[in-house]
Amino acid sequence: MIRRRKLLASFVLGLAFITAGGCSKGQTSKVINVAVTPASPPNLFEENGQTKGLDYDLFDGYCKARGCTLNITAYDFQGMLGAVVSRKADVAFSGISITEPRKQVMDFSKPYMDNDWDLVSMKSRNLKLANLDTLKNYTIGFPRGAAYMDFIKTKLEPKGIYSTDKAKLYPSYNEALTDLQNGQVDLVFLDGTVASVYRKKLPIQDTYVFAGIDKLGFAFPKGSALRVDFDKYLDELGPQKRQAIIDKWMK
Amino acid sequence: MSFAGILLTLLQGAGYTLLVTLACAATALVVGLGIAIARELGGVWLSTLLSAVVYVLRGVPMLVLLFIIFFGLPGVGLDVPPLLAMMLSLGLISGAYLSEVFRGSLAAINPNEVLAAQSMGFSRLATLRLIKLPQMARFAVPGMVNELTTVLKFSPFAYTVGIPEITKQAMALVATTMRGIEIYAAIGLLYFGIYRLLLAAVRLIEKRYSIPGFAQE
Repeated sequence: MIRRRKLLASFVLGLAFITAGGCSKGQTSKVINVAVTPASPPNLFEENGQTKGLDYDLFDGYCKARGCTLNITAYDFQGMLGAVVSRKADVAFSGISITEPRKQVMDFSKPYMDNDWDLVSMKSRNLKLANLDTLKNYTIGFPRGAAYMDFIKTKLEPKGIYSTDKAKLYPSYNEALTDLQNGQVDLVFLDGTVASVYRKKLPIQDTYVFAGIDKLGFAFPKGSALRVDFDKYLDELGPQKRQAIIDKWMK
Repeated sequence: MSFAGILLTLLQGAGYTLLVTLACAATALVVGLGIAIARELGGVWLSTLLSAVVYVLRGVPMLVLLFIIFFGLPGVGLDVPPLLAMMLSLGLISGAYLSEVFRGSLAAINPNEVLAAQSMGFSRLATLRLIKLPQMARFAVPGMVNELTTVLKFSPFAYTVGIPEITKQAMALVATTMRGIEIYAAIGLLYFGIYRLLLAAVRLIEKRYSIPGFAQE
């Protein structure tokens, strides 16, 4: 009976330790809590259990320069943004577009790269759009919580080009691209960076490119001092070194 | 990467899946049992209040409650860790369902036994502890196994609050390999394995506490 009680006490203690372990409050100020979504190559992904990517290299460089360490937690895309808004994370990065609605609830670093948005389709369909007149004839898929929804709502819907109710939402790019291959959706919105990776792995092609409309940034909670220091680091890094990191992952 | 390699990578998240499942199932058991006992011993008001709580919890989508607790409560100064958020959402909702399983099991107890206990001078608490609960626990096993399975199948929501369970490993793997079908099949196999493991544990406990001839009554 005593042994059983000891076992139960160990389980309860262990559980208490683990539940408290997820809290960021007890950690030192040198540890930066990072929220990512590891399904956005080349910006952020995992390989052999290691977090890698363009965004990671940039922020890791900052941490090395400032002598801090990263405590990385992986979420889905919506969860990642929610972690920043609720201040559970000090910073989030995984190819996050800087948009007006997001700027109302979180702060962004200076843009670190310009980005295109690609509407991709299966090569076998040979689908090319010279303009957006016929876009409404196709279904478009993209991850839930991504900036494309706001773009459709504010830019395309008022002009009658496309409506939000025709869009199909998925947990991540993975499912959207799987559904594209299955023929359940005609087009998928991809970040230019993400498209550059998947064009090598899948028989997809650009059907239409929204060029130069998107800028990527690192997301911080409102009023974050870390954002100010990170912006300072981006200035210290300079455009050439920053571009070298981007080129390393884009080529 | 071979299929075995995929399984091995996903296994890194299996421990967290098991932890989330056990923690939420334990919460559900405590909540379900607490509600069932309080309904038995409490008065009409407490019983009505608890029925209302169960009614609400059974109607709230699990993901909504999880987001309110994990992302919403920090807004009012309450920072809830991920596993605790899962226990307070999935655990509570599952507890509400379990309380109904226990209610049904309590109703299945032969009323003559309760009458006999009362005529022997047993208090309400003693009747519950010595006559009702031991039988209820045995009657409730099939319903409890069902609920435990549901908890296991809802555990992938843990990924949305940053717990690196099997689904998180799978998402990361699909993003770099694009081998969705094999990876999703591997997830199915792993979940089935965990389900069999939990079922074996329940069967073991059931056997340990079985009373010869009890099931045939």
